[in-house]
Amino acid sequence: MFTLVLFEIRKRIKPVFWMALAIVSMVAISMQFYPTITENMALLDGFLSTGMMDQVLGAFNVEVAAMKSLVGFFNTYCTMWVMMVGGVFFAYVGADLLSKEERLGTIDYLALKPYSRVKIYLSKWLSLQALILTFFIVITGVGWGSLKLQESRAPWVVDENALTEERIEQVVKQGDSISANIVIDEAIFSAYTNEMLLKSVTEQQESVDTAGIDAKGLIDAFGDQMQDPEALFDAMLSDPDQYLALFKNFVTDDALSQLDRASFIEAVHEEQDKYENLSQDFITTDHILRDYFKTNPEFFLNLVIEQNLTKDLFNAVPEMKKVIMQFNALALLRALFNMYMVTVVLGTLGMFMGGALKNNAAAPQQALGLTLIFYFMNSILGYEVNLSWIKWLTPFGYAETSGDEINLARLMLLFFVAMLFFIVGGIRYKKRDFSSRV
Amino acid sequence: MSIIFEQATKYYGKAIGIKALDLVVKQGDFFGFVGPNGAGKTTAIKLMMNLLQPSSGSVYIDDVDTSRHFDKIKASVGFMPSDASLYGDLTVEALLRFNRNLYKTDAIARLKGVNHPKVFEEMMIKRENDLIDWLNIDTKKKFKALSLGNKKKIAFVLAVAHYPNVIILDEPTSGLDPLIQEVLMSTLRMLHKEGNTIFLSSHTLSEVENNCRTVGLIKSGQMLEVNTIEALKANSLKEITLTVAKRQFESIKKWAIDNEAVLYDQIKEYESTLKVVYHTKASVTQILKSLGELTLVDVSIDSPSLETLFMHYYL
Repeated sequence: MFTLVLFEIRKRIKPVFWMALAIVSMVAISMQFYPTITENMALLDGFLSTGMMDQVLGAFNVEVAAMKSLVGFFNTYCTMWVMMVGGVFFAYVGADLLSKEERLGTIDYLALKPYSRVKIYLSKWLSLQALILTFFIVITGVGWGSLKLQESRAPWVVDENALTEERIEQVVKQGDSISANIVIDEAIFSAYTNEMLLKSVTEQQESVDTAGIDAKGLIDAFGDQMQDPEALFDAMLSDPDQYLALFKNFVTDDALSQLDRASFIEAVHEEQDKYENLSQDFITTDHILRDYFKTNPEFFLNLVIEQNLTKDLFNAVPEMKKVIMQFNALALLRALFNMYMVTVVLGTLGMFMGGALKNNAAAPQQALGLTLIFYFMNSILGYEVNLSWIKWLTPFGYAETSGDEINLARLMLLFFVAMLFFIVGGIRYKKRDFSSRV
Repeated sequence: MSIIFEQATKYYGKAIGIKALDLVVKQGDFFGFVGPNGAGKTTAIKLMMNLLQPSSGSVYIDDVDTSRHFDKIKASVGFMPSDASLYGDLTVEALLRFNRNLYKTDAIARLKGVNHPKVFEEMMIKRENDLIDWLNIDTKKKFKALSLGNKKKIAFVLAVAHYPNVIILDEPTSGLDPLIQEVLMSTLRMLHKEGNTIFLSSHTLSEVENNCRTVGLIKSGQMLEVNTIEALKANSLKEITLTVAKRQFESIKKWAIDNEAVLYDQIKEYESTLKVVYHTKASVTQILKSLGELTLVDVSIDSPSLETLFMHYYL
């Protein structure tokens, strides 16, 4: 069987190599824009987050926020070039491996050689795997290189995945030396509380919390006022009736819904005091990392980055080099692994089509078309919240191309489904007529 | 190795390829498979080679049902398809090497009666080189750069290089020049003498007549006649060429009616004589007896050529 596998690889390696080269040069050219993008980040940020652009980019799987980091920027292009073009290409190749033999009539020769049809089918799949692997080795190598070239220009980025309990403890213990250097003002405190509030609400599963308050609804009702808690407290105290009525709309607990005006004012005063005390402590402490780091590590790491204190942090806690970096190589590998798995699945589906269809002359084109449909189904319909389930019907929907994670269970499920198709294709291939001309 | 078709039937959708076809080709036979285009020759062959699945019935090679266990006998079968399609980007040398590598296993070496795959590889190289010499093949060229004739030569070499015991050829000589046709046929005769079974589908009737021992005629997906060429000729029509005086022609017509002879051709008309050809199923003795009563200038009695037989069956 080795002879057959090697034979297929030799026949196909050239187009695969050219394809890899084409994609790699597109990626390399794209990376040339990176310096311009980083220099004009602020301007770009404003433009990209306007409603229209946000939606358009969303449709093409471009995450605006992610684009700012080096790997995020790379992945934005990788997703386009590697996933779509590579996926389409290997779906085509997968189908063509079987279809071409029948189209050209060479199957009349190959099928008479002392290998069973199952072995022919399997060896074609194995050679497809070798080709995909080669393709991704080239992409990874060149991708790595072109990112390394831009590393010094890239902003520092926090890798959430690398943020282990152990490392957090280290920062809490050793962070005092730089805590003093961190400048903290009202605005930072306000941003901190906002983020904490948002975090607690989004993490909360049920809409009504244990106290019987629909916090999410309440925060939505407050709207922009949430940006400035001090002002909100003042507003509440100056017009308690209106806010009490508003509050009661979001209360399910009986005792709370009976709340009178005086108790409400008292409670607001209490909360205001708590907030002010916290604010005072937050702004004046010399041990900000020791006291508050654990509550929201990412917030403080981003603060360290913003205030150009990364070097000080690395001196205090060298381990943090694995958490904060300009070129997150692991994220690059994670993203590429996701794309690799999707490509494997698409190639396998292509082979299924070449194997199962009796009149398979057009199978490569059909596999190509189907892959494109998958891609746009995932991109465009996946963005529409009500239709987001559609992405689970496409292989692309299972991949986490941002590089944030490898959802192994999900990828394995996808691979398993593809293998089922593969087996069905093999069973059909074993028993069917070859469609060469009669 | 014998080949047996047992009620083999193949439908393409509703169209019929072959219909309840029965055929036995004995071990060691040189079988000619003859029929017009569209009669089902290629369908029958592809069924036999497990490239198509029968709609019903079976084909056996060496008692193995080819639609079920073809893998068991693949190494003993050589097949030359009609349209000589091979991997165009490879040179002939590379094609031959690839082909050899496919047979380089212990199991095949054992089957072929040698103790090591390398030994069998040497045997294959020897046979390839002999054929390359005889057929005058340029092995450095890429396959796609070859003419149709040369492509067919390569397909032939690949079909027999692995010492198959049964060799199936689908119109091997079409597109080849007569010289090469003869080299190919003499190679087949040699392989036949070595005890191999040859199954030759052909358009060229003289080729079948000169080489095959048995011939099968197929029409509309069914066998019309299967017999040795000798028997086929003996049992069938006799071709009588008569030269008679013109004024005697009436008596000839009467003779023809009495003996159920059919006027096949009027070859020549001379000033006072005619040369005519009759076909009859009567035996030679009968013919001689009846001819005695006629006044003839000249007479000859022949067995018809396969071509004439063919015309008789298909027109």
